[in-house]
Amino acid sequence: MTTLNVSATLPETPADTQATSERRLSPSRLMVLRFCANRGAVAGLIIVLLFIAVSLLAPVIAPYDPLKQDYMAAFQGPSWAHWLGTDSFGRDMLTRILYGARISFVVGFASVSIAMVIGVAIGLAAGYYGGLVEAVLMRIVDGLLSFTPLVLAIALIAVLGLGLQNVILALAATFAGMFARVTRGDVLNIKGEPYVEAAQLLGVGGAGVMFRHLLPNVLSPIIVQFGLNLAVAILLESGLSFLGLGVPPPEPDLGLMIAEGRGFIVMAPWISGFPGLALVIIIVGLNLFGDGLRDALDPKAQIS
Amino acid sequence: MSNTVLEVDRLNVGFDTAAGYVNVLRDVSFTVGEQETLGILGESGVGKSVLADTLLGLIPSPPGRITGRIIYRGRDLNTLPDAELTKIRGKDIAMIFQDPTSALNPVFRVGMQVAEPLEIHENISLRNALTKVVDLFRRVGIPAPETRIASYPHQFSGGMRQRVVISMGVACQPRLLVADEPTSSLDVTIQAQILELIRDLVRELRTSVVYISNDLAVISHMCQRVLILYAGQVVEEGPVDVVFREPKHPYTRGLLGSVPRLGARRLDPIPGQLPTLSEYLPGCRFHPRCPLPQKDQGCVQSHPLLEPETAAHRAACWKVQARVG
Amino acid sequence: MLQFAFKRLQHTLILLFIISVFVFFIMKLAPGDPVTVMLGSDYNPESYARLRTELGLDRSIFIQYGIWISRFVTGDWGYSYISGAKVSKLILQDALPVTLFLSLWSLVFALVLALPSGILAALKRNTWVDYTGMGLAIFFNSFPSFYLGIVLIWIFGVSLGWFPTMGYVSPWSDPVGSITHMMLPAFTLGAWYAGLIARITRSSLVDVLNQPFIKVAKAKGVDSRAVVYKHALRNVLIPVVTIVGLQLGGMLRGAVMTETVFALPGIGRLVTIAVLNREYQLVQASVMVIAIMFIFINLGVDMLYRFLNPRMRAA
Repeated sequence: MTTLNVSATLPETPADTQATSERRLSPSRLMVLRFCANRGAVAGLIIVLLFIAVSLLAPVIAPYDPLKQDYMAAFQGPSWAHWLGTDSFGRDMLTRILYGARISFVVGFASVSIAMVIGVAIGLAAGYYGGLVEAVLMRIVDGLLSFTPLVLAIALIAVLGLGLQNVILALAATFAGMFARVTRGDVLNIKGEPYVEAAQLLGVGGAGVMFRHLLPNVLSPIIVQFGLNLAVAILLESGLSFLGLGVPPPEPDLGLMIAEGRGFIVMAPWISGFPGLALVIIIVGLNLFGDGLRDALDPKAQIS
Repeated sequence: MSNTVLEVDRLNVGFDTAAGYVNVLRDVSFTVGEQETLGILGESGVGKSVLADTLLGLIPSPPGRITGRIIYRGRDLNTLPDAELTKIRGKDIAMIFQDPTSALNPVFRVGMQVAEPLEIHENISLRNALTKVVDLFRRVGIPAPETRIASYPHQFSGGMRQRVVISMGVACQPRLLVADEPTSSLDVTIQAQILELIRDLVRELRTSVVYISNDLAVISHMCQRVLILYAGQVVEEGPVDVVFREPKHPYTRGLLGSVPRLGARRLDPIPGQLPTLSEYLPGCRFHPRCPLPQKDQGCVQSHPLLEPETAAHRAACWKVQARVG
Repeated sequence: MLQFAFKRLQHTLILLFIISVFVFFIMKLAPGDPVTVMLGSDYNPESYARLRTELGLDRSIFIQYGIWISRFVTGDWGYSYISGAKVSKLILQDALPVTLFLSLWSLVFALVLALPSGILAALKRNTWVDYTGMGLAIFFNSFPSFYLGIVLIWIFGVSLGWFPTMGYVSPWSDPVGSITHMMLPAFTLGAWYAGLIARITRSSLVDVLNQPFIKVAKAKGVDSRAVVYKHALRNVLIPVVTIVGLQLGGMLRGAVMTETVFALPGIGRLVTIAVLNREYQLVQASVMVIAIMFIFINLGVDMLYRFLNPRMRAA
């Protein structure tokens, strides 16, 4: 045949213009772009920002005192004076829902943050040291997780007693295991990378390697986990309060309000209805936001 | 090449995307003769795989838009309803795919996957089809075929997997085989074995082949005729040895110049880049990179067609045609 | 496969040991002296000392664990202070069947609703069918089950009067009544799962349909229905089963809430009341039973996953 005796492959040229333009952007900018292109995620972000604003500003914007009872005003439907009506004690529903969002916010962020700190530390140590440390830590984590979040929280509440702080602690314990598992998995993936080994060869100590080299590289899945767990934490907190195992009355807790309104579902459906609606909006917002965050940070989701 | 198996006439393929309409193939015409192996050579991104998919009617529409004719046995595959196409696919026209790892369904045993076209087109039971698969496996060089038909794709090496994919392609003894870079994902040593296998099978089955590749050596080894594709257009066509010895089109010349050869002092890559498909160039698509000295308004404004049918070796270039005519 | 089963069994035994230690020590932290609580008004120093010895509370903590775990394994879980019934009977005979019946129905509901809508959304992707379906899925997936339950009671129970809203009827005594009583609870619990499964089914089918082996199947002459239902669906089930398994905790959470809303005497309701009444023995045993159940269901899911995914079978 012809004189071509060396196998020759033609140069690879990217066909897709989008692929080329995406490659030129920095990863963080790309992440922001991908997030913003996702309409659901942006809607979620707006809800989450509103939720945070309401939580912080509840004392300023709420029209009434959340605990003040007024038997003359009990069971009023929505009106100009009480936009979302009043409950069986004549307390203003709007005010209580605003404060309820505040409690959800505090419990959610506090419990998931504590869980993140503890869980990430356990995951880093287990992934980095390996061996017996890993075996013991991860078996404990497996044990924690096999209770499932709600049951572990119920068991802890049983011994700690009711109250905001105990709910936070119980939820933190349940979520710590999830953070540990995610962190350890990712540490194992990157432990063999040259830059980690280089740092070790240069004599960087265990803590230095873990926090300066490993942690920054496993941050995205941890952030994703944070976003997704927030929704579950708020759902669990309201659920515990609904069961009577969370925040005790007369606190304006969303789950508690739904439970209190159950008996009046026919004559005054707004007492359960509006707090529930608020809760649904918060959870939908957090889920959309969390999903968007995951899709934006997870390089595997790039195609979709 | 008296009898024509496949005739492609002014084929245009494009896609509606979020960024607008993208034209991938423009006025592609060619024929494949009885027992002929036609090579289609081009860089990645010129639309080779899209061409392969179009021949089997595998381009979903929307978003794909296809005009032109693909004549097989007097019928235009482009206008044939899907139910009719299904009867042709895998039986008359079959395909060998690029990446054997992703071409096999991970959850089914390979025997069942290779038996499937036999079950469908020859209307035989799975049991009977599997006995044929054993023969096929033996023919394509898979050791212990009786037990291997029960294995899953992940239990094979890359080269063995490609043998499975090839046996799937030739299972129904198709009249036309479309091979889309069947060796590009394999190791060099295995590449040679697979190429020999395909060549032997093609000879045995007297099948016509459209062989798509970006590898000059593979094309020159496998094919009688070659079609050079640039940015979705055919720029040159002719017998392989003629085209590679005396390339007419400046692009083909550039290609041959960019191939490392023993004894050559230096490589001459073609300056510039392949135009992206969404860019619309009214004239010759190669003109921004064309090294010919006397480019003129014709090159920039109107798109050159291949020389008339009479010539065996044809190029789509104003300058070449002017010089010859 | 056998080797894997053995390894999993070993792992399961270790897990069971760890959770028993957790449960035992968490309950040790409970405030108040169980002996005083158990004796109630019968309190006097002699009976106090007697019961303390009987419960083994004067021994070291490790021996106490040993006594507790051996009693647990032999099925001696103590008595409820309030009803006086055996804890083992309350949990295994009374409560557990209710929870299992509820969960099973919900799973049926969820799969029947979710798989077809997920498939439909994937096949009609980026049309209004897809958007509506996935909007509903995200909505149901975010709806707290206790709130959904109340809304359903309000609409279908009270306003329309279609279904009973409270209580449990055993399927053995009154099959029809048991189904009507289960309709609203099963839908309440199933909706959350359905939303999740529909979303996973959609995204994974979209993913699979873009795989080269789908194109290969078409190129072989397989018709488009068989391409989806034979070649794609089996691959779709792998991530669906994985997620369904991972989210069993969410199912359990929903079950506890649903039981409370619809006054179903299941294990979730039992443990809630036990915590409120400070019946620690009952809490302890219930939590153990739930955790054990959870571990074994997970094991089952894992086996199913391996069955569906040949790549995992060899490993």
